[in-house]
Amino acid sequence: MMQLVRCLLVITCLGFSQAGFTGIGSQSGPLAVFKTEDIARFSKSVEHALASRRTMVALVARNGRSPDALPPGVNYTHVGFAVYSVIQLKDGTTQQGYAFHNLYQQEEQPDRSVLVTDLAPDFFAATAELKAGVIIPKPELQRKLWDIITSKTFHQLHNPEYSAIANPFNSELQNCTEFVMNVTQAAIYDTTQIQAIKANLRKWFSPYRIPYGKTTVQLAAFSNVDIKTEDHGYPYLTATYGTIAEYMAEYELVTEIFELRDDATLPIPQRVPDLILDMR
Amino acid sequence: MKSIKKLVKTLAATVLLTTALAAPTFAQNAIFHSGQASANSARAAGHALAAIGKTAVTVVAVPFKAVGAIGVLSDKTGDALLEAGTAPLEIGDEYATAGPSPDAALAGGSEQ
Repeated sequence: MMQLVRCLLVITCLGFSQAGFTGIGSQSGPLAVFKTEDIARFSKSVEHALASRRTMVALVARNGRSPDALPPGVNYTHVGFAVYSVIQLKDGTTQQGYAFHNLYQQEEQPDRSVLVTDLAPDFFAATAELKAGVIIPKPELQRKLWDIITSKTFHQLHNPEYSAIANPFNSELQNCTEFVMNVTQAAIYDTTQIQAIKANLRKWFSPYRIPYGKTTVQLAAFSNVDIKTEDHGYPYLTATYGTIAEYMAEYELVTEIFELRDDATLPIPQRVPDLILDMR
Repeated sequence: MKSIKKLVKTLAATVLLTTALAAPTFAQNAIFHSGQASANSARAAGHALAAIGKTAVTVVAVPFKAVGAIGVLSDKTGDALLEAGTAPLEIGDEYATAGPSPDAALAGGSEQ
């Protein structure tokens, strides 16, 4: 009996410590790990990595969470489009670099999102690791992505109704990865019709299966306005950088997929082995 | 014995409650998420980076066919640019960051 009591005490302590740990990394911003100079230097190295490959449009991801807090198979928490651009500075000079076109969750209203164009240091300001996931589409797809991103279609594909676990197979709610997939599908299929985009996603795209039970996710939705389940059946499915990378590699839409870690570029396999894909 | 049973029941209830409360927090933080944190920190970083960088006022995507016009490549036009050369595209040396949020700019807090 005393053993059971001890066991329950241990579990209770673990439960409390888990709640305490995760609370640290919640809504208050990134882990303050890196100096501003480090972020600036790393941001510039990502730009040079893209430029050295003569990239006009790429998909770039960063991780804004402690790696320990990520579900298995998830390595990045945000993805956007990097577009080679002319940047006019406040002093009147101009220079070339990459602008990042993103869907960001709104600060004041977390269940809504907004499209934001920022620059590399802004994009990586929230990073918890000095690493970037990079997908370089084939040139013909880059050109099509450029056409979409610089057109009003880019904004038409945005749904501001935000859920962190949005189901990419319907258009009820949206997160950054679903938005990126919508834009990519519009480019691939030369369509702006959301029904066609979703039909192709349902047929060809294998999303991430959220590795939590129904009760856990529903409890999360109950207490967090930016987690919603009404656009889901079960299991809960969402798009991740990893599943996007795998999709684009599988259908030969890319020239290169790599991970940039500080000063070293690490190629990753075309098929991403650490993803949970058992829902196939 | 009764008091031990009562203690076990209390602890069991606490475990269940704690797990239930902890799980949503975990899910919120860990599941893929576009970046409320990013928006916050980007602004904060914008202020910090101002010390070593410059603020951008406009950003215009370079058209594929205009790459030559800005001096990166010449004598080549069109989509073949991507496949034609090997020289890296040009990247400026300045550490530029985006300006403040529109509401902050409108309120006059735009200096970074």
